[in-house]
Amino acid sequence: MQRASVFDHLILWAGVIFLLFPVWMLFASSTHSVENIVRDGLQFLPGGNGFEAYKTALTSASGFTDTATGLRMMMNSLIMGLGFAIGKIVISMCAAYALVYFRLPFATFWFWLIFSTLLLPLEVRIVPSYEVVSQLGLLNSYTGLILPLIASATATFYFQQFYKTVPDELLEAAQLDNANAWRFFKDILVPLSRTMMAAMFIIMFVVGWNQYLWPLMMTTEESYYTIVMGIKNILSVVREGRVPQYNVAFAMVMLAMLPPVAVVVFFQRWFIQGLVESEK
Amino acid sequence: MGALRLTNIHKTYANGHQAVRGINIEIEKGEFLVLVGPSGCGKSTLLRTIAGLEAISEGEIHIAGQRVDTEAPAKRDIAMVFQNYALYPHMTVYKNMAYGLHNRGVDKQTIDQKVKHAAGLLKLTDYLHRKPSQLSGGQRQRVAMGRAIVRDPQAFLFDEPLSNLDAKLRVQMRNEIKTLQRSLGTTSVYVTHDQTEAMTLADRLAVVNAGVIEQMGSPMEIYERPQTVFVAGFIGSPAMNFLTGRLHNGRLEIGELSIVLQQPPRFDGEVIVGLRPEHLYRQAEHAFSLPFQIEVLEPLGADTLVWGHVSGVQETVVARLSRAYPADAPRTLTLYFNEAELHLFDAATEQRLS
Repeated sequence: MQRASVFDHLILWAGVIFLLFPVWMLFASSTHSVENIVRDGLQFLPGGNGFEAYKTALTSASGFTDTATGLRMMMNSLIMGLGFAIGKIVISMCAAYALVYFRLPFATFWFWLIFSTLLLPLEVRIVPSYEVVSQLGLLNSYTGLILPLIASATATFYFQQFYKTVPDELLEAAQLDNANAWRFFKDILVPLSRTMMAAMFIIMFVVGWNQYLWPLMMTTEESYYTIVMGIKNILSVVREGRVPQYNVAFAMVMLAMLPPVAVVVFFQRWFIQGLVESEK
Repeated sequence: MGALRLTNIHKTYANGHQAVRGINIEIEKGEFLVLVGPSGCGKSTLLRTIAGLEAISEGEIHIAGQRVDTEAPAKRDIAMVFQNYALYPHMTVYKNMAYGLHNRGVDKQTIDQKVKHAAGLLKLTDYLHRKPSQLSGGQRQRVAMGRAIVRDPQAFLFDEPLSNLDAKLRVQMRNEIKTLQRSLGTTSVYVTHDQTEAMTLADRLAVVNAGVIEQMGSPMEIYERPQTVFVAGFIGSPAMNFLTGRLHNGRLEIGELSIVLQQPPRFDGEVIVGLRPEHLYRQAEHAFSLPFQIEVLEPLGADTLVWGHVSGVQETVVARLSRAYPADAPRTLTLYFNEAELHLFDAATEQRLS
């Protein structure tokens, strides 16, 4: 028993170390000077520069103008991630509510139409999407960054499946309690979907935060650059024959990782709590 | 003017299934009406049409003199208690009870007073801040009733409210519902498939079968004078014995048995003879006798159910004999019965004769 448990822990620790090793190397390297990194490659042990690279990454701008500092780009990514996640959740909950609780004509058809958009990811429709957004004059705006991405068949599907498990008697009881469609949604369905929303938020925030192609297409003004684009910008000076500031890039990678990790840690606790308290 | 009047109610589903086929009921104010019948007989559908959860295909529903069959459920001034309680899982007991009032724009103080009053009646005062998941089945059922009581409606509708509870709790809650309904004096319609529940709760009983009311009356009236074979077989536990027989010039023949009735109905031909298990006796003071072959004994403690056969009759017969019946006693037995406790039905129409 005891030995089995030690053995289990060895396996677990091996897994943890294996997964965390690249992250540690990034962190250790980010505390070295650029020369060290270029000469000796990635470092295992922390260097002497401390958190200097992080300060540079957060405060100094990497582009032509002074606007695209790390802090600014983190802010943009945050807005994008939050807008993306919240927008998707709101839209999908409403869509699923309509599909499950209202007698729509051709409901099945609408459902499959929504579902078939899974076959059309952003990469496939990026040219028409860009065209639409540019004609609407939404290039270089947060609305343009977020709005075209928030329709989500996956989330709609999950919410729809969830609503179907909510007993019909709740709707009937609410009808007798003089709750109209809006009140039933707001007072009953939304609170019941909390765990589902938390789960969706984790996934969608991370996806939104990590968007690369769409912001790259959409933004020409540096003040709208996201952090993922920023990392790439630091490294792309190689093309101009200059040595990229590897330590700053690594620091930025570390920084870019923090918010998604924080979201997962925070919402996971909420998520598990919700599962444990399962009330339905 | 009755508190609740159903006139010629029909409900036909889109697939053509006729769940309710022409039901007329008039319920007095404060009356406790129980709709009883086997599953799928249309009793729940009927209740749901009164609540407005299903539209009727034909007919009229009046509550307190107002025609309501076209109104939304919330406008009908009725409250319903569901089989699986249908409590809002994320709300506390207090909020569950207050939600309907809150949605009707009742002010906070009145809500508070009504919820606390109902909680007092239902012994839920200590649980007001718990969520339904932290309550036992019986307590959840009480919350569901509390939700109905706070509304102070024209009528309570109960949709098999006790079938999710265990047997002991069911008996207890049955008494509580009865007591509560008496003290509140609210008109109630109660749906159940359990005939014991129906008998004990009802002021008036309506036995529903295949979408129509077979018989309506006080529980004892229905027990003593069932009008059809269906009602006779449905009410009473264990179910009434049915034996096929012939009636000719006031002489009744069942198997090898032939008896002369004192007050025969004016009928000649095939009959179904109904005799309740509790109306078969071992004492010889009753007029008629049957030779009985015992097959199975089921001791219930206070009584013993004796299953067996009467010679010349195919159907299994059960008798409820008081006290324990010794297992090593003789396997044949003479049972006695009275003419007054015989139920005679026309074999063709299954309607009561007399």
